[in-house]
Amino acid sequence: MGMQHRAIRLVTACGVLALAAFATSCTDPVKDRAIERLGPEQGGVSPGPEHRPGQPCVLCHSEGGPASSHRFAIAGTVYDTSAGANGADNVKVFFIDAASADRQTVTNAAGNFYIREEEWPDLTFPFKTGVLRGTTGVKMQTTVNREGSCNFCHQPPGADPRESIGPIFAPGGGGGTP
Amino acid sequence: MRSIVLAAWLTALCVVLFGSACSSPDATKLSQIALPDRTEFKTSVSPFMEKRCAALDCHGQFGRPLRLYSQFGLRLKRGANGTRDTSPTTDAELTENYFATVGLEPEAISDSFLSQGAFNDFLLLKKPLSIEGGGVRHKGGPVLRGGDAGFDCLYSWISGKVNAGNCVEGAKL
Repeated sequence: MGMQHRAIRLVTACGVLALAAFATSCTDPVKDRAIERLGPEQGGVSPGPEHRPGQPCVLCHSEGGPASSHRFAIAGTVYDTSAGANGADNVKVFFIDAASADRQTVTNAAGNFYIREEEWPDLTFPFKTGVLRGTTGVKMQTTVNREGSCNFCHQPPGADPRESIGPIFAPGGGGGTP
Repeated sequence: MRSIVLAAWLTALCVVLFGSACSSPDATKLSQIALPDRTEFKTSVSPFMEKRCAALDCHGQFGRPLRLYSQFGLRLKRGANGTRDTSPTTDAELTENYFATVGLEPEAISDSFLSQGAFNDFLLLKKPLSIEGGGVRHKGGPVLRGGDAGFDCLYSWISGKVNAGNCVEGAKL
């Protein structure tokens, strides 16, 4: 009888362990940690088009992310200057993908821009991009190969300068080439 | 009696394992490799790869296989006062790029170099191509086609005579 109880307990424990392992395997711990590192909302701005400028938007705005109900194909932030202090409003951002399809969007007051996933469901990497303020435009010098979050590479000041090319900034704002 | 035999067997096994673990490598068994030219890589191939492969969201990352440095992406060192190094790709970075490239599959690249490109079944030439085009799965997707200038830049360099013009052409966006 004692042996039977022990066996039942062992099987139950194994079952619970298997369930726990299964449940945890359904999340992406790397993505979860990256999202956690972004911290809370900043500057009293509520979630919306102008929140979290400079952060890698698609990290949350994608499948499995906390903002997965508003998925983005491409998103980022354009600043006024290379200092990355103030967002640049009304800057046009152009994209041409590997299938020669193109889209464009315009930055909002925070400098944020985005193309929703449903607006470009068949986006084919790599894509080319550029920005235009008034009549002055600048083309990015390399292609974007797989990352929809422009701010993944164009991190705000303070990031490791070996791994960040610096913020995207509108032409004519000063501070070098975007 | 049985335990004595078992102990004897275990001891013999330990001796064999210990002996094999302590044997020194055979100095005559070295891979001889011949690699494509480093200078041609630095002047022609790396500038192409920097534009087409080395973006920060691709091979311009510390954790990525075939890590590539460039002025447009990952930098080897910080600039003055800990800021971004905005200088053109440095010689040290070009050297790193060369070793990352030839170090991917050194024996295969050596075989290809020695056979002037007759052997071409290795990752550096297959990763950029689509699966339908003879390539293999690449997380960044197909980025080159077999007949285009960029592919010929890589292939001609590995084959022993780089087509510098195609490297320039292939780097154009």
